[in-house]
Amino acid sequence: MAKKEKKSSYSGRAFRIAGIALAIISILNMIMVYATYTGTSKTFTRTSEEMNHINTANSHLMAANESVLSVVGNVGAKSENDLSAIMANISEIHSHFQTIDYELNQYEKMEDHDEKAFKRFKHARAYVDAYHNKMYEYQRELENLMAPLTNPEATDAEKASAAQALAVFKQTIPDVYQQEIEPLQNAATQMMVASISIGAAAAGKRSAMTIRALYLVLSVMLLILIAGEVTLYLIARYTRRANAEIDRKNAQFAEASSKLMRSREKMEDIAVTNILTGMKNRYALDQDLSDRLADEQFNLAVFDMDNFRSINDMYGYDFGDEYLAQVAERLKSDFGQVAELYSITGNEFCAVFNRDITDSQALLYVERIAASMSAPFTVFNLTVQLSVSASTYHYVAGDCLNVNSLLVKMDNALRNAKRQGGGQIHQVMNI
Amino acid sequence: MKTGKRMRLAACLLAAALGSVSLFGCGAANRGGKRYKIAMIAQAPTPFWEDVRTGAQDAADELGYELMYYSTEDVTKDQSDLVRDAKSAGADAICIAANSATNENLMTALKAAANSDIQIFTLDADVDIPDDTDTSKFTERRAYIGTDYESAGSMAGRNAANYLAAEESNARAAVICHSQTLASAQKRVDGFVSTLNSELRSKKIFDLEAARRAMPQGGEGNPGGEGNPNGEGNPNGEGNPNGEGNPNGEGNPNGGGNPGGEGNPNGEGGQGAPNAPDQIDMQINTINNTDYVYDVLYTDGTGFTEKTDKTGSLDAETVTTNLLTAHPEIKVLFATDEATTVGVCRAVDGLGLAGQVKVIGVHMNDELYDCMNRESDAVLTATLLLNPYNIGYFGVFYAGRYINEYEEIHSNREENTMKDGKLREPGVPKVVDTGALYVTKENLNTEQVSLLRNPEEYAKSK
Repeated sequence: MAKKEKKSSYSGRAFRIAGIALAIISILNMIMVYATYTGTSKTFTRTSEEMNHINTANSHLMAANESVLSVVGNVGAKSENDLSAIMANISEIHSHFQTIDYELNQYEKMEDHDEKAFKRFKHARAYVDAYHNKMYEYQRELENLMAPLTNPEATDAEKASAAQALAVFKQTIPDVYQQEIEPLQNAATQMMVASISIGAAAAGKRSAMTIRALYLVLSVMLLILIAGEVTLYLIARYTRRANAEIDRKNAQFAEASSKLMRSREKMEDIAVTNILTGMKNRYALDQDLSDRLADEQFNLAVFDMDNFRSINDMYGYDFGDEYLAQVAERLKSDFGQVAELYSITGNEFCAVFNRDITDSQALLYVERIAASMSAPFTVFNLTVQLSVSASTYHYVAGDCLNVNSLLVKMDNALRNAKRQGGGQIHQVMNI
Repeated sequence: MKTGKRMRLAACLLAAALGSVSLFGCGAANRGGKRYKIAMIAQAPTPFWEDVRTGAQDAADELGYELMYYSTEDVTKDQSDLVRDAKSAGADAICIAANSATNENLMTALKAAANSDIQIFTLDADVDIPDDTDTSKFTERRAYIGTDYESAGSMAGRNAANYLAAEESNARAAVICHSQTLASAQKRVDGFVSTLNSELRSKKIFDLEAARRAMPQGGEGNPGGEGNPNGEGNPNGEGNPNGEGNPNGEGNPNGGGNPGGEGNPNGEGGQGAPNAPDQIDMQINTINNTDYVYDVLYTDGTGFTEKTDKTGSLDAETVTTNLLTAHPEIKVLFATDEATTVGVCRAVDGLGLAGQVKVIGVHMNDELYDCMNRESDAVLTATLLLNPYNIGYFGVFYAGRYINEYEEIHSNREENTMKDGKLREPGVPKVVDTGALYVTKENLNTEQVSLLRNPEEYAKSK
């Protein structure tokens, strides 16, 4: 039993540990998933902010390019000499570049740039700045040329020469655009595109890394959970096996133990039973009465068939044994209810009357038992009959110290009855 | 039975988990896709091409391609072997600076490469792209990335016209060109010569036209009629290569120093007016036929003084020295590459003509920087600063973009088939002009120039 308890407490502890471990893993899982999620969303926010700045700058760059083209084509001019459209476009270019500058500055201020993307950005920025400077240069030149035209103090000659210079300037615009501005425009735009695509690739890589980290965490957690599940399953299986083993051993043990009990009982029975008659023996009588001697009173009698030895001598022991067996059977069936019957020596029987049997009834039963025993028996087809001597004893508490001395008393009385010819019942006298 | 099922379930879950881990692991490696190999075949191992290589390497590093760099010893060498090398090395694209636009060996090698699905791009020096009718020529060039040299030459011509306009009327320009075979060299010359001539002509014609417009308004009674011959004489000066008679003629065709021309509004020279338009027309005709470029001298074997098989600055120096000695009227020189520019500068400096002869060069090394950065009388007046870094960078950038799109288009034909049943072309421009910056002493020390001269250091310093 102790072994079983130990086993079950062992598996119980394993389950508890597994449970705690799973709980810890789940909490860890939650923390890691939360951390990865926060990291991922931070990356996405940052990336979108970054892309926002660059893309806004780029769209303004495109718009500036368009305005530059408008200047080149003198789009919106009412006449050839109308410079207001050019000025309007130039101021638009200027405002686009202001926005571009702002957005690029914002982007530049951000921290932890991807090294490659930022390097490309710096190149792009250099070209954007050069482009801006170039446009600014032309704006100033144009303004200088136009100054006399709008200056009320300028002389006619000054105005005329300004108009001519302006005409020359306008004539060179397409060439200047193609040779000086367009390559800058291209370099700025293309570098910006490269910067965007490298930035996007870097952002993609960053996102992919965080997502991969997320999946990795989830996968590891899943693996751990599966491992936990498998461990629990193995523990459960082991425990079930161990329990089954314990049950099997217990059953074996119980069987062995009941076998032992049975054989012990049998041995005990053998010890207190007369094999021939199936009645309790002298040893049993000793056991049964020892405790009663000190403080009980009861009636008992000893019966002995006279000259039984002559039967053995004449017909053999088998015959004698069979005869005794038949006598015992008859006593048991006729008087088993009123008295405990013992077969104390070879042909000597003892009856201890039940407590509800009164003294006078006891005497009557003694006579009946003697009569029953001395009646004829058919043994092996021969009818035999022997007289029976008996001694009765109305035992009073404290009469005898032990069963032995009680039997000595009763044997003396029986011997007296036999000595007087047998077939008599003698009473043990209380002294 | 039950145990078996559970075990199987556990095994499945485990497999799924391991699968997902390995899937994501592999996914990351595959998402970048195949590492494209981009071959770059340069013209020569010069600093210019080193800068191109730096740009190309930057793009390859940033975009995750493998750059294979090849170079011939000089621009005269055949590159067809290098094309074949790149092909056998498994290049997905070849960016070539062709040593010849038409060389048959090279075209055959390039065609063979193009036929095995290698995308061909040209850097700085293009190959001859024929029209559709001539199928014998190479048609597979996807894009040209480099300076539009005709435009760059034109920019030099435009500025040269200004320089020459300030000189005496017989002043001329000359071109010292590094190669007669390279298309990129020829384009510079063409751009320069045509623009210089047309600019100068139109400048002068413009002035004459202005004078003509002014004349009829003068009306009768113009006493300046006699004074006018001077005014007409001035434009004549331009038409006349000798032009000694009127040193100020070109500079002041309006007759700033000639009251006659401008005097017309005052009602003078009434008699002169009817004759003037004819004379002017004649002069315009003369101007239209004037060639302001004395000659184009090639340093690769076809010079006007010495015929040598040597190339490079020494030749250019000799050629220039001889030219200037024999023709003092040459006041503007256009040198078409860096080495030639160095030679021309040395010659001009050696003759003590710094500041008197304007030199327009191409690109800039440290020596040329010093030539321009002098306090007074700079030898190098201006240079067309190229952008080799961007040539390399955008060569690889667009080649990679093309391959990516090309593969995407071909792996998803249905979505990329256009109405006419043809597959869509990858969205890469046919020509990417990396431009040239006209650098003079005025903008020599600006950020833009330092960016172009030293892109790596510039980006680092920012």
